[in-house]
Amino acid sequence: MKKNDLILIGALLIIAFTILGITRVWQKNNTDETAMVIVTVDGQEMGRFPLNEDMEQRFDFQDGSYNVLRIYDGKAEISEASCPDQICVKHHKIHYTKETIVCLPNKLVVEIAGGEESDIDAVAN
Amino acid sequence: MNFKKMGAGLLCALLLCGCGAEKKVQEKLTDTSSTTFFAMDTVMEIQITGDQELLSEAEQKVVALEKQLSVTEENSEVSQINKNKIGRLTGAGAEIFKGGMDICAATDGALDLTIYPVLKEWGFTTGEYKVPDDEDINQLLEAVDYNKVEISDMENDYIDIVLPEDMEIDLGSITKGYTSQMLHDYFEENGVESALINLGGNVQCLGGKLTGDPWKIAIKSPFPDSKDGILGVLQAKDLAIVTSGGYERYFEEDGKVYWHILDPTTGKPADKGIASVTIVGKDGLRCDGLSTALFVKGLDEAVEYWKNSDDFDMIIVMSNGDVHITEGIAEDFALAQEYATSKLIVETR
Repeated sequence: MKKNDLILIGALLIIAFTILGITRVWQKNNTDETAMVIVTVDGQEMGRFPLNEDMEQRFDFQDGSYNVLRIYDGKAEISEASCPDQICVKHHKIHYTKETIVCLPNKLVVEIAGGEESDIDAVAN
Repeated sequence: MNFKKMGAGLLCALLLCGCGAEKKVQEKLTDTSSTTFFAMDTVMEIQITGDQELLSEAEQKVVALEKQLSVTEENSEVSQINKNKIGRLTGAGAEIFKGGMDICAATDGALDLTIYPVLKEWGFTTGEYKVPDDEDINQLLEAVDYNKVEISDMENDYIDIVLPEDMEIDLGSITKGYTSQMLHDYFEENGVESALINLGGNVQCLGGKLTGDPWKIAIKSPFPDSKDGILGVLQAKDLAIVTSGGYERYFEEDGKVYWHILDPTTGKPADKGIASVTIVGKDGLRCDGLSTALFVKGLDEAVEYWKNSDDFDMIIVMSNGDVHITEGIAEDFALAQEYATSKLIVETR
């Protein structure tokens, strides 16, 4: 074996591991590890907020109606809303991935993404 | 030279490892398509393993059905019938009507497609709730009786009906069940082997998961103080799962709770000590209609009805927390940890 062969092997290995390393870092940066609370209105995203930061935000609609999203202690809820049925306000707090709270009158959906997985596929109600 | 080859091979192998893993993830994503949209006054979530095209087609089918049958859509077939007291239901509308009337008859009117005017009076259709006077309820009840709907003509693809004065019909209590069944059949005909259809809590699944495992369908807890909102989990393949309960839509007045499932004989919220009824069976429409009807009937009559049927199972949650489950699904159901100490009673034939 020539000296150049060794250099080539060494170089190839370094390149290979560098690529591997870069891919890993890229993957890590692009997968969100904190759970997010995503709010959509009729399919349009209105905002996303980390589930691990307490906050409160009001979403107002043109006709004067509104929903208040509250994140507290790692769970999300609608704490207040103008809708007559109040179904979204009565809904339990959510924190599992894909769990949702829906306010039908305002077409507002609160959904959890990238958090703790529950092994449930759908909820009959 | 050999080492050179080895080095190159090693490099290729490493690169392929990375690519391979990513490709797998992508394949998984494209194989399972899902969609979420608002229709029939609820949010619909459908996921299938198959062509994305089928999903847009499915959404169009749902929207068309809503246009044809919604009581709040002025030009729908149902609205026209309610307005003119005479009219025609076509295609799917005729099928839903027939299926609904069958359940009305089979449950002695515990489900009644003509309860709509009373439901409106309570404000359950608009959210502007109020407790009506007994007098008003009794007056409205005079026009509530599915037996008085007259069928003047009927062919395979249409039904002509005539309503007495003041009567109005509403197919809402069975439309979502029919719709999930229709989508199930549509996906199946198009070669889909795995699908989960969730129409605002009316769940119907086609086959099991991609892995072959059954779907895990949670039954919502009817109790407002529930921590996670889940009563238990049912493992299901190729089944419709429909729950009805007072918790879905209710209001409080003077410390009393009033919910949207009305007893057609009293015109008031059905109150036989049941918090929720879940019907599990092959036919979406039947599950939907029965979940309402058996809530109205109460535990004893519901169990009696089940004993004389062979096409569904059920889970009945009583207001006191007891859970009754029929033997056909007893082994597929587990209470959530929160309710682990609840009394679970298995009903047998």
